[in-house]
Amino acid sequence: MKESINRRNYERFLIDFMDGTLSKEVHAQVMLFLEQNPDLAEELDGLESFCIPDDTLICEDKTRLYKGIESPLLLNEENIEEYFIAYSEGELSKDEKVQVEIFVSQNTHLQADFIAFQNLKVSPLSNHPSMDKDLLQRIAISQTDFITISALDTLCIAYHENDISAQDEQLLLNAVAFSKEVKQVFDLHQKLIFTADQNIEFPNKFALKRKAVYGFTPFNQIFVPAMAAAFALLLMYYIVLPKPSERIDSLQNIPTTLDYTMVTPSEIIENAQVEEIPIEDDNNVVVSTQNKKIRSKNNSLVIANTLPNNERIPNNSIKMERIHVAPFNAISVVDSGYFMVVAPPDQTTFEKAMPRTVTKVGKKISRFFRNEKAAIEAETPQESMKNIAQLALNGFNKMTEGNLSIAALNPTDQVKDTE
Amino acid sequence: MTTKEYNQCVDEYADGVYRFILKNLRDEDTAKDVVQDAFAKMWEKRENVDGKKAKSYLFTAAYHTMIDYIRKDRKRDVDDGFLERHCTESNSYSDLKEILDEAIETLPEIQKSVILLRDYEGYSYKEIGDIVELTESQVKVYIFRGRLALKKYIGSMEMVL
Repeated sequence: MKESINRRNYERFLIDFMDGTLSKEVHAQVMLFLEQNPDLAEELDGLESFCIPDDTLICEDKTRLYKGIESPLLLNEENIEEYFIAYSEGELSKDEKVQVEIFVSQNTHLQADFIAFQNLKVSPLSNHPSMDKDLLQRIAISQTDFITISALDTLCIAYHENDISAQDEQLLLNAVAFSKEVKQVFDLHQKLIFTADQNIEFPNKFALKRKAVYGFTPFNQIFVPAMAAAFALLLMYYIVLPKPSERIDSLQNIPTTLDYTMVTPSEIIENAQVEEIPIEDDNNVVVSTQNKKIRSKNNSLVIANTLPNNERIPNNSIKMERIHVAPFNAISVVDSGYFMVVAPPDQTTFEKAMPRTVTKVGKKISRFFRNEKAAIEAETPQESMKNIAQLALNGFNKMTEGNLSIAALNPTDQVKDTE
Repeated sequence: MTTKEYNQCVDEYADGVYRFILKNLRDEDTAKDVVQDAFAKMWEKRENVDGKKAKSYLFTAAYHTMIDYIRKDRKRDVDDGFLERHCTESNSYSDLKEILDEAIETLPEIQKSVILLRDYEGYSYKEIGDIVELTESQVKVYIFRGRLALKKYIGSMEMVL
C-alpha cells in the first residue's frame, strides 16, 4: 500500500515534488495537500528559491568542468592578454596552458594576438645570464694561499701566451707543483694551443708561381719566346758552327810580302798606324795601315799581293762576315800588316764618286763595327777615307780570323760598283 | 717586391695561408680561391709591397677576403667530410684534436681567427692586430676570451682523455 501524504511526512514528498520525480498520481495528491494546508504551501515557495529555475542557462565558466583540470581559470577577453603573456613566459602550468589554448580555439579572433605574444618571446632559458662560478670557486695553490679558478685560468693563459711576468710565472709554476688540481687546469690550457697540420698543403702552388713569373702580359708573351729563340740560336752558333780561331792580331807566322814596298809612304797621317800612300801611277790613293797584323785565312791574299796594284785591287775584295766591300773606289785590301783603302784614279772621279761610295762603305763599316757615324763625317772624302781606315782597323783588330776572307770579285759586281 | 721574392713567398707562405683559411672556413675549394685571390692581390701590388712584409700582407689580404666571403655566404655548408679527411694523426690524439676542432667552431669568427693566427703562425698581438684591424689590447682580450671559452667547452681533462 502506498504511503499517503500528511503533515508528518510531507517534507519528503515536497523535495521529490520540486525535483519533479513524482508520479502523476502522487503529484496530484501533493497538489491537493498543499491546497488543504496553505502554511505548508508557503514553505514550499521558500524551498523553490534554491532551485535552478531554467535549464537553458549556459555555464559561463565551462573550463572549470573539464576533466583533469585542477586549477580552472576564469578566462575572458578582458584578462586574456595577461594569460597570453604568462603563457609565453612559461609561467602557466600544463593544465592552465591547455585552458588557454582551448579558449583561443573557441575564440578564433584572438588567435592572431595569441601568436603575436608568442613571437615576443625574448630568448631561450639557456641564454639567461647566470653567475660564473669560476669567479667564486677557489683552489689551493700553497699551504696558505688560494686563488679563484678564474684567476688561475688567467695565469695559465698568460703563461702559454708567453705574456706573463716573472713573478706570476713563478707563482703559477709553484702552484702547479703544489696541487694536482692546478696542474690539471694548467695541462688543459696547454692542450688548447692549436698546431697546424703540416700534412695540409696548398695543392696548386705551381699555378701561383707560373702566374707570377710569366703573368701572361702582352710584353712577356712576345719577349719570353723571343729570348728563348735567341738563346737557342746562340747556342747553335757556338756549338754547331766551327769556333772562331784566335784573334788576328795574335796570329803567328804571318806571311809577309814585298809588294807593298813598291808603295812609297808619302807622309804619316795623324798617327803611325794610318798612312796615306800614293801609288806609282798616281791614279790611286792608297791609305794603308801599318804594323797591324791583318790577314785572311785563305791564300787569296798572296795571290792579291802578287798582282800589280791596279789589278789586284779590282780582283779582290774583303768579306767581313756578311758585309761585302767592293774594291773599287773605296776598298780595303788586306796585306800582311797593311790595311789599304784605294781611292779613285783622279780627283774629278774621286770627288764625284767618293762621297757616295765613302758614305756607303762608311755606313756599312760603321754599322758593322758599331762605331759612330762621325767616322765618315769629315770635311773631305779623303779624310773620311782615313777615318774609315782607322775605324775598320780598330774593328778588324776585334775580329777573329774566321770573320775575314778575301774572295775574287765577280766582274759583274765590279762593273756595277764602278757605275 | 721582386719576382724572385714573390716566388719565395709562394713557397714559404702558401701552405700557411691555406691552412689558416681552411681551418676557418672548413671548405677546401673556397680556401683555395681565397689563397689564390690573396696572391693575385699581392702580385698586382708587388711594386708597393715590401718583401719583408709580404707574409703579413698575404695574411691580411686572405683574412679580409675570407671575411667578405663569410658575410656573403653565412649559410655556407660546412664540409662534413673535412675532419675525417684531415684527422690522420694517431687515435689517442685525434680525440683531442677533434674536440678542439669542434670547440673552436663554437667561437665567434674574430676569436677563432686571432687564436689561429697566434697558434699557427706565432704572430705577435701587434701583428695580429694589423691583420684583423684591431688594437693590440683588443686582440689580447679576444684571445683570452677565446681560450677561456675553449676550456669551458672542453670542460675537464677527463672529458678530453
